[in-house]
Amino acid sequence: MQDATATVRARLMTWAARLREPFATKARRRRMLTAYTFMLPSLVVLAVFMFYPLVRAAWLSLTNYAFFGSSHFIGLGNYVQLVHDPQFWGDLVNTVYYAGVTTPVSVALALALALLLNRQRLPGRGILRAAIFVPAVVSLAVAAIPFRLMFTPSIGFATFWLARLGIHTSDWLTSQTLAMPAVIIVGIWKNVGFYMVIYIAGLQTIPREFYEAATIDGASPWARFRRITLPLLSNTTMFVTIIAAIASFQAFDQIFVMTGGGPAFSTETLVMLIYREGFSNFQMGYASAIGYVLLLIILVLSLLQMRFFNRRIVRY
Amino acid sequence: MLQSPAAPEQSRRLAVLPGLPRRASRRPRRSFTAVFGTGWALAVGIAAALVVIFPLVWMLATSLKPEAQIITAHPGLFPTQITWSNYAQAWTAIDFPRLLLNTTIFAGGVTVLSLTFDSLTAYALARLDFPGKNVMFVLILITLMLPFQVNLVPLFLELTSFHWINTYQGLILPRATNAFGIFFLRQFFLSIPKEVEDAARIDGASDFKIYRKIILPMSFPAVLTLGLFHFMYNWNDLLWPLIVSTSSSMYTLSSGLALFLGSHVILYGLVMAGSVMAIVPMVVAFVLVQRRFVESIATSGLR
Amino acid sequence: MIHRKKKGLGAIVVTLALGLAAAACSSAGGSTSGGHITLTYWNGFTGPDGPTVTKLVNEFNKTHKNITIKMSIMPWDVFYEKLLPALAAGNGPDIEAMDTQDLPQYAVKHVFVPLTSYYKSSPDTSALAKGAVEGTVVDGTEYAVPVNFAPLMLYWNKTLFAKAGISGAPANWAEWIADLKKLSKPGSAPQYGLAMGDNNTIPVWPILLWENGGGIVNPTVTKSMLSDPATVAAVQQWSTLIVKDGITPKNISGADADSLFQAQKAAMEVNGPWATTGYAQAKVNFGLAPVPAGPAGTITLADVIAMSINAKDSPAKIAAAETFFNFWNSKQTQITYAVGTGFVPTRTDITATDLAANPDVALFEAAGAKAQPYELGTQYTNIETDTWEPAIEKIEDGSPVAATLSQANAQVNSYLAGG
Repeated sequence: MQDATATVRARLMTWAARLREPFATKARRRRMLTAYTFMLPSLVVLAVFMFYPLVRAAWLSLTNYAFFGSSHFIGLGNYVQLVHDPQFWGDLVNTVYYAGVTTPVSVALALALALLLNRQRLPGRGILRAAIFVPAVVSLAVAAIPFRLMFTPSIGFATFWLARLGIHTSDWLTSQTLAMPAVIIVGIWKNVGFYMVIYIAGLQTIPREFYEAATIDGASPWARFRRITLPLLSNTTMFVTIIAAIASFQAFDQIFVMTGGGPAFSTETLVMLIYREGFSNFQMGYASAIGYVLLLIILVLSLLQMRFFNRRIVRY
Repeated sequence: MLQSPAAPEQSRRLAVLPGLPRRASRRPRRSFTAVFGTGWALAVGIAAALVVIFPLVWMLATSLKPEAQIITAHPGLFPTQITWSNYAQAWTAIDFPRLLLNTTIFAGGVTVLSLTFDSLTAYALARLDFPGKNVMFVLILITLMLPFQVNLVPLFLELTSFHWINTYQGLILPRATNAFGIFFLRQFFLSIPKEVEDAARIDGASDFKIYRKIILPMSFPAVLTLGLFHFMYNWNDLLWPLIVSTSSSMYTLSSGLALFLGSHVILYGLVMAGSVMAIVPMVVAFVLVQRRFVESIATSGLR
Repeated sequence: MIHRKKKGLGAIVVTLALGLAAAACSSAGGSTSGGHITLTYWNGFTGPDGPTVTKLVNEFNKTHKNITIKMSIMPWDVFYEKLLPALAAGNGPDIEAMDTQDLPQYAVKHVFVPLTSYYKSSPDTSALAKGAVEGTVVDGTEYAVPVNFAPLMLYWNKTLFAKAGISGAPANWAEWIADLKKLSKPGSAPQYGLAMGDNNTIPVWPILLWENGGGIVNPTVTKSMLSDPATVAAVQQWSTLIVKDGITPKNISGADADSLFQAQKAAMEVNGPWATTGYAQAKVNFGLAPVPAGPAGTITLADVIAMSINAKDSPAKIAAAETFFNFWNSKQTQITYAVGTGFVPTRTDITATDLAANPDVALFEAAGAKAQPYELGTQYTNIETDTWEPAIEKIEDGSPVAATLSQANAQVNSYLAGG
């Protein structure tokens, strides 16, 4: 009996000592004070504008808060409504469609362009790289405006010149089937250059000796690509794919400008639904629930991607 | 992390890399294929660059055309007759000076505050040893993984209760610090050799003095790059200003043009001129700092 | 050591705080200072009626020395998007003018001051047109005061008609459709027979449905009429004309439709009185005719814009706003307004001689006799924006008419049932 109490007391004392440790000496106290003073501005901003809203969003998602009037706690009511809402499922499908096309195409194109523009003796490759990078620098919302006009039949650019090539399309942006490809094209256009630059950097860390040795051994360009380039780029590919996927799940800007989510909600994505439910319909509880679903999707997606790539990364 | 170029011995060892076919050595035909390959690569590269740049060039060309040339049976790319009236009209119609001012204050404010706060925090995480360091690190890492859209609604409600909706502080302060910036600078600070700091510390300099007089000056390129990033991202942002600004006096270039377009789509020349004016500042800035910017992204990407 | 370091940091914090304080420019709500009251007034009068409204507001400011009205005119879609957040954030306008179609949604959120006592005490309100006042009533209480009363008529471009060899405006659907086909030239530089917006506009589709005996909802706003055979037939007929014959562009806003007609790229438009001055200034040679009669007769839409007071306003501001309302609906102001814009005056005691300066007004007044409002109660956004407009978009993109409308029908009924 006495032994047990003694042990517990001893353990408690160790814990207490551990908690007191940081404050034990004057030097340690001062170090702590210094460090937290340095971090104070960031921590305050993060606490007030990042963590508190995160918690509040969770709470809101459990209420039927609609901006005016009273709000009630409704438990998982919003989430249940979400599951039964055809609008939500439609928008989820749209988002997955958008991400599922934009991500692989952007990454593949970026890699192809990087390989192309990384060649040693290519004249003017600095200018070409810069030109392809420009879309990353401009506002997607503003850049979507000329795209919108290009797809408008009365100005005719896209439809006119495609017709010249024998491909007859109607108005892209009022077609439920063509509107999404139109915004996907703009999404790819915006980011290809950015990902290309990251790939170029990755390519440049691959020692040239590897390629030289492989060539001496008689490897074809395709074999060199498959056996050297791709594996040694796996880190970069993982990075680019993850950020491309996350960005595509957050698609909003060019869709807002080009179609507003239409026609008939065929291009509406999850973020647009949050915007519409939260700021046009003022169903803020519901919008918060959708926000958390988006959070969940992106987290799961990122984790899955990291697991997928971690098994395939080549370390040497 | 990938290593620096290998030592000579490795070339021989590479011959046994798994998977490479072992064929008899052949005389390298590189000179011919190299030249042919380069020409082909150049052509494709130029084509790709042209395709990418085309929409912006078309935007510029259309903005200079009078209305009649825009809506025509045979749309050509270049104007046969240049008019500046679209620009004159757009300047007042979208209240361009106001949009430019708001965007500059917003992006500039966020950049200045973010660089300050981020670098302070990054220094603490990189160089100072204190209890709770790991907890702080993980907390900040978590925010990096969150899509900001989950916070849209509660942030809006929070700003409403502060009466900060439609104000500069409402636009700027929620973005005054940034997990990406913190990590970016922390990585950079970690790579600075400790000898200089240790010497200064022996001389009795305080942490803040070391931060201000040693670390910051040495980090100028990284800070500049990060600053450019922040500035560009916020200058181009749409969703956040769209929500915070409720009257046209506080719109930014992106949100102002997007809202203007809604009921003025048909005024093609006018809308194109407005878009050109909104994009030009960033493109010009990019052309000026282009090389450094592109390189910096490259080196920061590999983490 | 700590002392010095804190000073350095402190300097940064102080500078930042000062900088923020300097940058703290919040948008102005109305203010009261020393008896002088400033009221902010938001509306969407971006059309040619804007200048007349501005002129009258300036006149009010001049003649009422201790009240100043600061008016902000913005496109209607922006207005509706920004109004509620601004109202909730506390920097909403003191007076706002909006369509009575949208009024119920806002009134039930208690953002506007109930005006029953104003109506009882004000001398001018008894002279206001009943139909106009009816639009401001929600749940038995008046929440707004009419700004204007506007039936829609057919604007037709005499020059384009003459070029196509058509002598006058169509009187019925048969003539209308024939004329539309003649006047519509699709292609890369199209000419349209009609400029009809289907979003962010005073709706024109209801007219097409009503004149065929159909409608979107029944008169008591309790049941959907979207699956009624008359409705389906009308939608079928007109959507085919839009898609196959290109009589009007798809998915354009009301403002864009106005631009089209003004640029003389469309030969006809169904629009209200506010556009007359603008088109005249743009030298469009237009005529005004009643909307062509459909199988169920001539029925047009009457649009009422009414102004309300922010529920957060102080009693002093409310009194000042009511003074402005009295001014607005006074005989002299209404005559100036009607003559300047072509709107039918809100007062019924204004004679034709008073309005002789603008003959269009008499035309619109006559059209008003056959006009009915498009009321959807509190479900305007749900039904019009979220159900009807997407349904039309789908149909114009090729979805089968009957099936799409039946889906929309079910959705509207569920909204009306409170779902």
